[in-house]
Amino acid sequence: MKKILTLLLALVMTVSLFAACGDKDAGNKGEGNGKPTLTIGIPADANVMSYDDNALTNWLEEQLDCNLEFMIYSGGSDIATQISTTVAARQPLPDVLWDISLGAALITQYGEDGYLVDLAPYFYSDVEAKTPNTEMAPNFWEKMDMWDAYYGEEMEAKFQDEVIYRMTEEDGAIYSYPVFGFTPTDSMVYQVWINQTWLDKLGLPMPTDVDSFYETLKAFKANDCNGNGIHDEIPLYGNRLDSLGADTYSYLINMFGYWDGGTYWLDNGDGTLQNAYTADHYREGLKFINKLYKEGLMNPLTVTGSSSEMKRLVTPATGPALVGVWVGHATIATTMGNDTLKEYVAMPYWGTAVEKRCSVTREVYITTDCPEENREIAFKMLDLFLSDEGAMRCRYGEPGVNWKDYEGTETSPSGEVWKWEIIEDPLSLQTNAIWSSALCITPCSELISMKQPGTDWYKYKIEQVWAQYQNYQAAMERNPDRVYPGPRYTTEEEERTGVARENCTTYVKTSMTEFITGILDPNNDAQWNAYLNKLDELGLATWQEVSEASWNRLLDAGFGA
Amino acid sequence: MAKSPAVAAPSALLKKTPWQKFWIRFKKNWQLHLMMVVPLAYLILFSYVPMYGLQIAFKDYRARAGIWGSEWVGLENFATFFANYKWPMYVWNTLALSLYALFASFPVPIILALTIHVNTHKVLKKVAQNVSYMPHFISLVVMIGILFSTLHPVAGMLGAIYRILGVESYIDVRYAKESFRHLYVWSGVWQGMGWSSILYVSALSGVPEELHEAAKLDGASRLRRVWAIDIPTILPTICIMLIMRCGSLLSVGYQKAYLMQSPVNKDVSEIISTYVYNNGLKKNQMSFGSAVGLMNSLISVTMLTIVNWITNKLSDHEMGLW
Repeated sequence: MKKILTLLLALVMTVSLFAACGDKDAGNKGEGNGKPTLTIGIPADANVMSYDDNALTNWLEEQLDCNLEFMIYSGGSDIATQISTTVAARQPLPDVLWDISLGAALITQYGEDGYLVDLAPYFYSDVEAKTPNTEMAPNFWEKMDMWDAYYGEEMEAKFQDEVIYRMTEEDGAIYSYPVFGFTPTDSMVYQVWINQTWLDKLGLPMPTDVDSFYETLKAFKANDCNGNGIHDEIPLYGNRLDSLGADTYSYLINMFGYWDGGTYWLDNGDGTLQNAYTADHYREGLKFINKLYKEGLMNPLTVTGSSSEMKRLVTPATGPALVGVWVGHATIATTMGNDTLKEYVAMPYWGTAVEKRCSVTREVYITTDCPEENREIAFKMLDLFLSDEGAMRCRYGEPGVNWKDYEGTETSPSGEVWKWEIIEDPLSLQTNAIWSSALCITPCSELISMKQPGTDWYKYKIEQVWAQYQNYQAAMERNPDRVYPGPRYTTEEEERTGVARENCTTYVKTSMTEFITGILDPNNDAQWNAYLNKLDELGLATWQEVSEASWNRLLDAGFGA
Repeated sequence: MAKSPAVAAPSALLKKTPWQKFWIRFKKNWQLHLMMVVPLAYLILFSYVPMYGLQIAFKDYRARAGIWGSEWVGLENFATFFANYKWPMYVWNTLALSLYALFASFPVPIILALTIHVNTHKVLKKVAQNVSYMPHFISLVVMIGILFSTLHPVAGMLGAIYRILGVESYIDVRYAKESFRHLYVWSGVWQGMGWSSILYVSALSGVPEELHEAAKLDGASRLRRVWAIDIPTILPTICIMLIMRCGSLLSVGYQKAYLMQSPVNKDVSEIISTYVYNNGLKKNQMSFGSAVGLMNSLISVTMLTIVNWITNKLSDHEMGLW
């Protein structure tokens, strides 16, 4: 009996080894209906129940007369690494990669190595002359002409420059379909919120400059603002840099002069550049942040914390508010609906603001594994996402179920009548209506066009975010006329500066933390000069020379004119 | 007259060639050799055959061109590692972490195994063993998550302790430079000590009971018996494990350090593998990653050989790996 049982067990286990084998085409949707099939590589989203039986998928299949199949990637930020491994193993990629952040360097590399399709011929009917191809990319070019409705003609020109600049490689190729957001809330790198309840309790006015801001933080620390009898008030808290761009340090340093640490260089106005991490006002900003850190006015978690930690502190599940001033994107908190959040109001900026006119993400690509005959369909699909209906379906889900055309007369904060009305936002819900809660394309400004369900909570959100937007616009008025948008190098320049760039960027990032936490003293001239000398040693001059050459090429081509 | 079916006459064996002798012994134990076929095939296919790919350490590997079609660049990838001004720091961080982990975590499983072994209560023994090796099965990500949630200075257990004690000014121990190595090593000790002790427990189960009885009769205390009987019994196992651990001093995995890293502790948490992960795999620089990995392996083999030689010298060739 034992022998029989043992043999049976061995047989079952052997057979189960072959369970993974099977016809890879078995069960493919749309098999045999004669329509072309596009495979889409997409990150797993825990809230999306099905990509196949999905309202957005069904609509796209109907519009494009094709079948869509999905290859789901899991692993969050490691997806780019998975793609790298697939490429290195010479395995085929899906036809379209959607919502996958490869980063500028990898996009260029994959494009030059022939893994990504050059989309320039689809955007331009004459690539040399840059003539818009309104037949292949009608929605893209239509949206590019809409900026003036929200920001005026002068800003529209800047926005168009920025979108074209960010989507185009140094050699003119375009390897990803740029997804750009219109929502002013997404255009801001940071939003600053102050606890109005605490200000009222202490009888303090809204801060209007660095000194009154400092005094306000001191008052928050010294008093029992939340009235719970415990000395747990956190005067200032914010992320170092969260996934939505909120950067507490940038906000504080911009109180002393225009500063964009993400681009590493500041335009001097005459074609030359200065390194952002050597500028005098950067040092002033560091001195101020160091002072806040030393005196316990800026919470140490700002240096290390994450968005999820911020949610926990800013909107505690139980108990009163803990934070006086926080810097972060509205989305972090406004999805909470926690009443504690209503204590916060938009705080004005009195300095400059990192000029992020629009959020241009390059996370959508067509791979060269997509058959030639299907590339046009794939491009049309990507362009559909910039149409009004496509964008609304992408972000808000199914018409009639999640949203509908607005038929009333109520107006938005801008004075315009709402265009659409949201019935139920599928974001963060279990849904079959959208593909992703991360890559959300919106057709136009949420604040101006989309009436949210009429609860107090949304009323608060719209009022405050609109105020944030206006503060940000006012700050941008104080910015220099022209700002450096970020580097773009040729392959030869990348190689020549590779070591210097890596050494310098590593050094400035670690030094910034050391200056802020007090390991180095930004007030100490000897230490500051030693820091500058070290940067010179690490090849800053080489990097500067190449960056200026690249910048001048861009200026010669008419950028910012 | 029937021939003997069993062993051939000694004189017949002496006339055979070494190859024939080997074949006779092989046929006698063919079942054991058959069992070895699958693991041997696995070793050859997945450990030896891929070695030809190491050449990409000396090439500018492009997946489109393939391994054979990529351009030779000589030692450029190795030079890239040394061109980074922080490379001594990466090597030192790796060594420091590795040596600390070695000194802290090596004796603990041995002590645990001895403690379990001397215990006479069978149920307690089993429970202690099972409970001690359960953390091994917790994934690294979950373990770090538990650790950081507990040590959160505001919302965690540590935060509650701070509030009870009235501590207002604190450092975030999860990410502080000063605490990184301690958290890294001791969390690893907690997670791995039970699993590592299994080998020693099984080695200790081979200690003859008569030796302990004889020692008891001679008046030896429990501790004396552990020192004189148990430890010498497992000493060969300890030596082998130590040699193997020494051979991987520079091969600290990136996952745990990467998860525990922050801008504040980068000076101590950036090790060779995290640097290679960030600058190699994430940026699709396979050649660079391979070059550093090859360098690590060469150093590891050298260290393994040296430590094995020292062990052989000290133990008169009885306790070395080879």
